[in-house]
Amino acid sequence: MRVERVAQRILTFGLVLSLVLFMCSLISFLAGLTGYTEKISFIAAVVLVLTPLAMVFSVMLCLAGKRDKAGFVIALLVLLVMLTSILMGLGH
Amino acid sequence: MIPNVVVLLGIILVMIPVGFLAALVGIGGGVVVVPLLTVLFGVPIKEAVAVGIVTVVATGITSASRYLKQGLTNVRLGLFLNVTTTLGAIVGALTAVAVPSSVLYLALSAVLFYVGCDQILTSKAEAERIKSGGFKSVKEDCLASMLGLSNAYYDLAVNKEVVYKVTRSHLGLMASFVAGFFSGMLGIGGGVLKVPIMNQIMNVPLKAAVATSKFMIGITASTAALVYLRMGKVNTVLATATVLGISSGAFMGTKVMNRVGTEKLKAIFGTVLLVFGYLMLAKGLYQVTGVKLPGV
Repeated sequence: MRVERVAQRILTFGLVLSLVLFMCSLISFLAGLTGYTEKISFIAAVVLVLTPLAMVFSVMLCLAGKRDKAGFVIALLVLLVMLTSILMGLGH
Repeated sequence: MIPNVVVLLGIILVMIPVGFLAALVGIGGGVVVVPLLTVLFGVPIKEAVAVGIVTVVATGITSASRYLKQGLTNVRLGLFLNVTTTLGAIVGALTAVAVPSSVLYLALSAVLFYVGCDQILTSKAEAERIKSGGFKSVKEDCLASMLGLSNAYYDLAVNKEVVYKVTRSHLGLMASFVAGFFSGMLGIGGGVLKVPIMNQIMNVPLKAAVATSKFMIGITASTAALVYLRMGKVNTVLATATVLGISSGAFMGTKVMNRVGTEKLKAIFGTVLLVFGYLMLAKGLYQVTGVKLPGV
């Protein structure tokens, strides 16, 4: 499968899932179930924010499967830099 | 802040045009979202910044998924430039204290005024180059050739495939580091710099640059958003409204972008850069002289 197709599928899946959860959160807020609203919206935000990370990881695996060394190294570097900045941010 | 129903619905409505514009010109939209939340809805600035970052991820993913489907995004180029952009952002965030932010605001403002004017003045020339196949006739540099960075897309406005050869990859990589540095220091997404870097330095047509910038913004913003979420600083109820509104707008923007003529798109992008340049100038002047310019 083409790298673009893999990236698009992962992004669409993550986006749709998070938007459905955000919609559920909004409906629960409008229905006055505020206890559920925060929990559902938190899960939705986590899904949304983790989607690009999952996308880069999938692209990296796809490139490895194609034996595209240069592409694999670039994707790996992006993933490492992302993880470094997350760890540095958490430690700050 | 616990919002009421009217505020939530108001936020959704206000975010739709922001998402539309962000998708159209390849910016994250955080610079617009944060002031709107604080000024119009009274959200405390720290909450607005945290929600703004999650919102930028939403515009990035919404636009990127659509542009990937339309064949506009250059994934390899986006990943390639993202390495130095993120590194630049880390260095920028770490050295934020060392350089006065007023100096950075004024420097960025000068860059944005220059690039904005250039975008408007070269809008006709780029449209001509697309028609005559000028993006294809440039010599690809060896790094771009080795990594397969050159690409093509189908332009719906002129009904033709636009093939482009990426050039000056080394310079683009260094400029991306500088763009990331400004992002990390000033807390902006950096789309206003990423698009001109690809378009004016690396010979990437504006539409492909906009789509690739959105792809990059989603990746860069997600790392910061994850940190904010883990630290419990994101008001997820507010984020619900901003994400739903901005994603709807971004979805509509992606439907329109490839149908708009390059000349118009460059003029819109140039105008957005001039507005951002003014905002940065006003912030810088305020910090240096204490004079508050209108609209800030």
